[in-house]
Amino acid sequence: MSNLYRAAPDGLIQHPLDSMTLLFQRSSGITHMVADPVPAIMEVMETDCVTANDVVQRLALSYDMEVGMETIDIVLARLEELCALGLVERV
Amino acid sequence: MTSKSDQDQREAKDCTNAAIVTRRRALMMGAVTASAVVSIKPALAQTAGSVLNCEIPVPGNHAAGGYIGADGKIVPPDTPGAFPPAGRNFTGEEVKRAMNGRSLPGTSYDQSKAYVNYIRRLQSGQSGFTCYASLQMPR
Repeated sequence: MSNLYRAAPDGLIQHPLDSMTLLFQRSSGITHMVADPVPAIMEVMETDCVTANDVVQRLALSYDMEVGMETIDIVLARLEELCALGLVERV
Repeated sequence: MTSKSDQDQREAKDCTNAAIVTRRRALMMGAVTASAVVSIKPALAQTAGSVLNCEIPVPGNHAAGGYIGADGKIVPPDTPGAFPPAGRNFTGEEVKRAMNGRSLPGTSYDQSKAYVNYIRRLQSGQSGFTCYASLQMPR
């Protein structure tokens, strides 16, 4: 199984809402309410094909966070969650 | 020897850098098991029972007569490499299977891929969108 992930290409409408972000997914008509660290993960992924490790490295450049094995596991869990929702795809 | 003003400038710069560092946003990572997403499904998600029997025309009325390019875009009839309109509507069940790697009934492998790409591009208001959107509902 590939370890590379990419944010789903179809149009997402994003709207920050206090501590959450609303994501409207045009293809499914579903609105997702996402909390940290999801908006940050999607932001640093841009349109690239990245591994969970890449995401952690990029997050560490922009955010104050400790980086450890646990961090990679958390990012991986979020990426898998986003895959199940069609917001991210495995490539 | 370093002049006082040079030193002042360096200190000022160090302060600026420190300010930038402290302005970095703290990111709450949560835990592996803590889901960070809540999804709001539109009302049509409730019609799960009818999802597999709903139909998707390829192409829909908005593009009647057009051919389907390999990437799923509508192209003028007889464009080389593009496929003619499907002769029949596909059911949600057939499209779901095609999205999982099978071919749509009565189509070649490449033709099926082009049709599925077309279906993936459907937007709200186009025929077949509601059916396709229903297939997308997680869980």
